[in-house]
Amino acid sequence: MIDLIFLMFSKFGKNKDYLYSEFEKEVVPHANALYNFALRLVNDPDEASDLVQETMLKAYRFFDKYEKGTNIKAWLYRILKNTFINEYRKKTKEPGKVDYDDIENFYENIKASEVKGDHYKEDIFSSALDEEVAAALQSLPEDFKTVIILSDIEGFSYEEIADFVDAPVGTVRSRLHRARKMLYAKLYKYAKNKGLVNKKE
Amino acid sequence: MNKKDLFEFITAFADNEILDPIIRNQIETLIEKDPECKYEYEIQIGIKNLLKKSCFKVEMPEVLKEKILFSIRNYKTSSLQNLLENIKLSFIDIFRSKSFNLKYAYIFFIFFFFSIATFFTFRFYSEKIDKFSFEEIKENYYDPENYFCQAAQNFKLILEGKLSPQIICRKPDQLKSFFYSNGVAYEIFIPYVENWTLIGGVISETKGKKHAHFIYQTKNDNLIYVYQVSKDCIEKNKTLKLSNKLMNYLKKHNYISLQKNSFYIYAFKLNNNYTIAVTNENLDESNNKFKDLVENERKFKL
Repeated sequence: MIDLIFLMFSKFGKNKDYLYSEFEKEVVPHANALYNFALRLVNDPDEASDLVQETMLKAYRFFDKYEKGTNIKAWLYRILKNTFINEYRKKTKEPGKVDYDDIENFYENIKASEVKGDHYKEDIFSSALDEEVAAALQSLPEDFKTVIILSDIEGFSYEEIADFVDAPVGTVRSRLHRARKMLYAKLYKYAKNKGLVNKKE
Repeated sequence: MNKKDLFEFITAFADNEILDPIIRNQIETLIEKDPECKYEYEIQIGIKNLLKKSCFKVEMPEVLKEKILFSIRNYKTSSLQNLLENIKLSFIDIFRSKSFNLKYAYIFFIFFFFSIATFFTFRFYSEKIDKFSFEEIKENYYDPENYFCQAAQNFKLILEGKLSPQIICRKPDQLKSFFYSNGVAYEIFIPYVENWTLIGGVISETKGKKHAHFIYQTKNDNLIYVYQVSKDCIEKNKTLKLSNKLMNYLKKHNYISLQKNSFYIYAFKLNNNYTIAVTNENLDESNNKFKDLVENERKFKL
């Protein structure tokens, strides 16, 4: 009984100023990372700003639900992703569907040629401009884009990503594998247009 | 293991996600010996490094950070929604709690109900309208900067003919317009009272703030002088003095009355304004309209 009463009143008794100072200490240091993630998800500074603002407000509202000592960055990213899906996506069009089979075939062709003898990988990686990488990344289907950003840019582990996207670790691994292949195929096309690889490909 | 699975394991190897040393060694060997596996590994590691290099991080604009923190601070102080949400969540937490038990819930809600009932009963009875003795608030009466003292002195000057109304008017709206157009910067409440006739008003100035005074005449030809000032003037800016005891009492929408020599003084809070009325007529229970007004407002606040 006592613990029930305590539970009830502890909710109201929490000092709001204390809550705000804890929030400032724990969440604000991740604001930059959230902004970068939002920017990569929506590719527009204004929309990224709205998304981060909404995320941080939600994080504040539910801050007393956050279990201290657990991964706050993953918690914040999850809020941002859910906000993105629930609110931002309502306003924008679904991203265009990518036919993965086409990309897979294209990739297999490149691989066959490169494994046999033409080695363009190094050229493609060294010649790719930052804007081209960003555009290729942006064109990926959302599920693939999310895992590759979280893994390669933000440095999350498979387990953290799985928790974040609410999917098994095997799915994360598979999406990541395919996402990198898609990116390579796209960068290969850019390189081909610049004349860096065999035009006959 | 088919090729597709194998290549996905190569991805995991590139990400240092394979913890089993045997599988690690097997994949490592495959990458060294099989050109296709080597190619897959190089693509995976190449893209990973390229993204790390190309997708540099940008700084969040400082203005945005400030804007967000401002809205959070604002949310902190103003959100009724948050409070309601907390109440809702608290109840949900109780029901989900491992120690939840229906028997305890009954006891808890009975306790909760009686606490609320006791609170309101106590509040109602503890804030009964009281009659103060002069001794209790005399500190307010002799300080010329005190609101209470000024009200009594002004009435004395009116009776002596040394203070006359700046405007003669019988209509509350007209009198209000006069106050507002002459720099009174708070909302004035001039009650309409049956059998009392509004005579006119005066504007005074204290420390740069203008205050409203108005006068009624009763059917017995006595005068009722009213000095009304804003809440801020007493509580925040302290343009006019008032003892803490009196202020705290009036703050709770109480009404006090007392008699000093031939004066009857009534102090109360009405529509967020502090009001002191001084008269030479004893406004008994039957014709004291101020008291009715205060009681009505207090019931509304409760």
